[in-house]
Amino acid sequence: MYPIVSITVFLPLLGALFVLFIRKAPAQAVHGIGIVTSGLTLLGAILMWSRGVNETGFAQFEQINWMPSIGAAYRVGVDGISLPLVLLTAILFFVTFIYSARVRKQSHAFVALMLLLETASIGAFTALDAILFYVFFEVSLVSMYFMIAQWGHEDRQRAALMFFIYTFLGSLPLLLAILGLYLGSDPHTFDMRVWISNPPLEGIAAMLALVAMLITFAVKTPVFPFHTWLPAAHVQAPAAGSVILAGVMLKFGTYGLVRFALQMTPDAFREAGLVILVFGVIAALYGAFAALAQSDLKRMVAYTSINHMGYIIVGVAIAALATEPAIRATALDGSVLQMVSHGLVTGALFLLVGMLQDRAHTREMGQFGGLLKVVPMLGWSFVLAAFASLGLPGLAHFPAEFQIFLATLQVEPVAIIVILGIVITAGLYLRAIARVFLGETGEKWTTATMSDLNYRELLALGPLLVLIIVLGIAPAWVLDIIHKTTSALQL
Amino acid sequence: MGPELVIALIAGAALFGVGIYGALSQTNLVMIMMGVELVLAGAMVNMLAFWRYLHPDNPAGQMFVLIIMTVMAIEMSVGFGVAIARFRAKGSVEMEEAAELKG
Amino acid sequence: MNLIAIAILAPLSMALLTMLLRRQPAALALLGAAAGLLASLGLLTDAFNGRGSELILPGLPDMPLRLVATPLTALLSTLVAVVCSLVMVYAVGYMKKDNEKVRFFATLLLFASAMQTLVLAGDWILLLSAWELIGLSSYLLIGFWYSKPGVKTAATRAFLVTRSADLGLYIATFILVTSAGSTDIAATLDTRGGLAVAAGLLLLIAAMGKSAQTPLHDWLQRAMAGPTPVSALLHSATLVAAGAILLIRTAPMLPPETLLVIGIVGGVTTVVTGLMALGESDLKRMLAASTSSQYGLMLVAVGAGVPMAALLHLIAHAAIKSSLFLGAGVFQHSRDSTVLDKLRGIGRDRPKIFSGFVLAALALAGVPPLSGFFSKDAIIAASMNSANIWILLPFALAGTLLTGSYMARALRLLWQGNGKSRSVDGLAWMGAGLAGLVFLAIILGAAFPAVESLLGARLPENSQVQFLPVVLGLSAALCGLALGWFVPVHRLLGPLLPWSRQGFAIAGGFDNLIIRPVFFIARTCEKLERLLYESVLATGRAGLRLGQAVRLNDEQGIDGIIFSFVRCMVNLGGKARTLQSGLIHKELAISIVASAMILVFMLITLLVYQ
Repeated sequence: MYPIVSITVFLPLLGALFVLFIRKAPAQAVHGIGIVTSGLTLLGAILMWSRGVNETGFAQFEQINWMPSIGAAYRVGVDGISLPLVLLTAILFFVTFIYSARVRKQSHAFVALMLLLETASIGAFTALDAILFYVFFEVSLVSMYFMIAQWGHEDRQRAALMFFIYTFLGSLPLLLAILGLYLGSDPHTFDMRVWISNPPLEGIAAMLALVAMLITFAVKTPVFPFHTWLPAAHVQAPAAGSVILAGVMLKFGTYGLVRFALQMTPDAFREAGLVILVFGVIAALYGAFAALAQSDLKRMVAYTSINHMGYIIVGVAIAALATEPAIRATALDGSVLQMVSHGLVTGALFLLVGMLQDRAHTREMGQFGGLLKVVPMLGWSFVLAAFASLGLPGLAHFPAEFQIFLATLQVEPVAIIVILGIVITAGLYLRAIARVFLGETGEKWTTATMSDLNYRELLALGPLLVLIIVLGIAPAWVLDIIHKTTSALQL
Repeated sequence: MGPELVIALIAGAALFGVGIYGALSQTNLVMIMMGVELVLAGAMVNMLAFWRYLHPDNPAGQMFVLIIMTVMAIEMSVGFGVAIARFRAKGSVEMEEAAELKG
Repeated sequence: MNLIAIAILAPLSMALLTMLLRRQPAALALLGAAAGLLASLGLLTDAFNGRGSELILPGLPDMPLRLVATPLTALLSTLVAVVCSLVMVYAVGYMKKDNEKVRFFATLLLFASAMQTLVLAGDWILLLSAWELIGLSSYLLIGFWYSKPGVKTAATRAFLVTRSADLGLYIATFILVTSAGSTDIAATLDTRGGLAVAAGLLLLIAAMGKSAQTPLHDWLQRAMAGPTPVSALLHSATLVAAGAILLIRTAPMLPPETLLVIGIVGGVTTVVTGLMALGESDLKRMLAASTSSQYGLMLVAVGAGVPMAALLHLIAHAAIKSSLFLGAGVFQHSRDSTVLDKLRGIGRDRPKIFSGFVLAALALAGVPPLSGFFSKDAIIAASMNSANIWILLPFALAGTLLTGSYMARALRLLWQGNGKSRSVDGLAWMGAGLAGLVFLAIILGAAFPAVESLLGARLPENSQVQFLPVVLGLSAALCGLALGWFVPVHRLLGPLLPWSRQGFAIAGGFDNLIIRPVFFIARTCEKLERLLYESVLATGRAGLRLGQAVRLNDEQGIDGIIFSFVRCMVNLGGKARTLQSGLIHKELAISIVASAMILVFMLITLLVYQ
């Protein structure tokens, strides 16, 4: 049996090392290597998908001993919560490599950093050892820092620095919590499976560990009020960086919330559930309102990320507070599916905004107008992605949000006020579409000055749009895998 | 230890004392060197006295005195060479003014 | 293959084919509409023969998607299909000169399949999804000519208003699904008690949004910026009907308190939008206000506890109003405007179209033996039979009166006066579509008894033509027609006219009450954002200052101690240096003293150890 999971995790890293060794190769070759490597990784992820998950516990488990004296080993495996995220990561990276094929400035470093990031991301989602998870978690920060600082836009140095320091500081409490869980487990081990099946801490210790983990994941997700790094980082990051940041790295926070906070300190999470729920509701509504006030297209999409992540927090909190397993399964199904949908939809949106910025060298909505006539493919793609983001049925976000809201009403009816978010989101996206794409075309933009999507961009965008529609009409192919795990979850 | 020895030692001590007093109290380099001569002479008398009255058969005493005398001569020549150099450089051999090696 | 699937997939597949092929959009559209129509007729025939069918699709875990063909849904499906087909025929002519036929027909077909899904939905998730999708189609179709001024605002406003009202449908769905434990609509109709009241009110909110009831009627007025076939299909017969359809389907569940509220909302709408229609200066906007008014009457009927009356009026109104819109479309092409002042005398320029228009108008007013008469009569009879007769009956009669007056006013303005008309392309197609719908508007009255028997008539006993409701209804209608024809509007409305021109906005209307506060909140959030961002940067600067303080502490504090130590040592050395005077006497003296000390020491040692 081939260790497909480990191969999928480390293939990008091998690609990165290969790229670093062939310094003389032209940029196109380097990008080609990047695309091929991520394509192979995608194949690996699809292979993992076809092997499926188990009814309980983790599947496709692989282990190598690393530091037996402290109980840390190289352990990887997947379950219904992490497998969709692995597939999402592989798809998004593949698409991003295709899109970034035009990056000429230091393409070696770019491709190598992205491949390293891919390894870190897939590793984080498949890691079943806490130290391993933490290593991958932190390595991703390094990659993203350099990507923003080198290939970003005007104010990139400050944004990259703020991003790195903020999230790095924010991840220190997680280390404390991991150590706490390690010391609480008997015998001492870093094996996450043991921590999940037998939560090691109780009482005050568990609550403290939970608070520490919540701080880390609140910074990573991000949740109001620890979110201010996100708009700055997104605006200054290159399009590829934004796609990965929003599509994959934010999911570290929510994935960690489920895997660590919910599954390893369940009682403490239940006690804190109402507080977390309130934070989720505030984050969702605040993100939507703040997005409404933006005039920079990229910042607007960044704030909608905060809004969508807020829904996930609400879903996870509801899952903790739910007493019936069926409702808990629905809430978690919705949350995990929302993670996948958000990755696809916001990834597409950031690609589109990036394409617009490439052509117009501005992101201000006031500079645009009537672009639907000038760049119809880009325009209609944006309309599709925007309607998906606001939760239109038949497109990606609806099944997830429906499940989250349904569970919310069943468990904590007052929190249903969070549903106002979908109206605000609708308002802000329609306003953006009206300002940018509808109306009269100004003299500034003509078909001569602004070209429609070329092959590379279509190839990058197309799969995402198709998946958005497929996920909206027939979410069962993902939900089945998620549901297998969430229905058997013991909390 | 007869009275002759004691008298010789007293003579040597007297020479030694006068020499020290001269070395310390004189300001002129030549006078200082005279004082040093007297000290060395006093040391020689002491040596001779001990040789003559305690160990007359041992030629080592005579040898030692001769060596001291030679050393005295060398030292005087070097000393007067320094005095002449000093006189040529500074125009006087007053030691109260020679503070160049002050630390 | 399942007829339900064909009814939905035929228009949808033709839409996709149109977008892919980008040729012959009109032909493909007609093909799709016709196929769908045949399927719906098949379902209706099955219903008449007592056969129902069902289609179950996988959905969310434990929540499959259901499509059902009951007598009610089959009937509605046929209605939608018929109006779709006839309007599609009309649209071929209307859009003859337009460059973007592909997009138009594709979106229209998308709408058709979404609407079919809505009426045939058997579970709440599918109904909710279809409800939103028709909103999307409406957005795309209202905003069809998106470069024209005012169009994008109209489309955005329409979508946002209906989306906000749709929150009611969302929450009602959650409540009903939770109480019934299943998403099957039929199962949830057994909900009772407080939950039913809450769910009913929330469904009312959703219906108010889609059917443009007061105070959410403004979007429909603005929606007239879209092409006229869109107004005819979506905004008179099908999309706006969705609200009434929702309430008719869930009527068994609605408790009396909710029914009263529904009736009052419908009644207020009837009167307010009727007055608006009376004062309107644009033909299409007048018809839009009239649509809101008629749906208000349907809500009155539901509120009276007789959803059958509402259904009959829905069917009649679909044919009537779409005919009126189709006629208005021809007038629009003839005079390049829909403003009533510019359309003066068009009746005489286009007599055939105008005669169809007149017949439809009289049908709407409730003149026998046209279909509108029977449906209006049913509504009035229903309100007379209800418990809240003194609330609902005046509304119903006022509605009938107003209907007659604004239709007569419109007819007068279109007939009297003079103006210059152009020739119109595609008149044959447009005329054909119009003729079909006018024909239906005339004869549908005869079909009503069949409908009643199909659905297991739930009309009250005096549903047949009985004395008092007929008298009241006819007199109100004729009074209204007379008033509208003979009395100019500023005398009719008097001081209300300017307010009615503003759509009876209260306290600045939607803009002031909702949009301004929302943007205020948004800007406050943005200010809070800046504050948080600055505070993070300030924390960073504080950290830097802490670093500097530590460095100073290092340099001045710790290094200072070390340097003072060094200075001490240097001082000590300096003091020791004074021994080095360079003077020979002092050197000699020191050496003599030192040697003397050594001698003394040796002597003492000798003496002590002797």
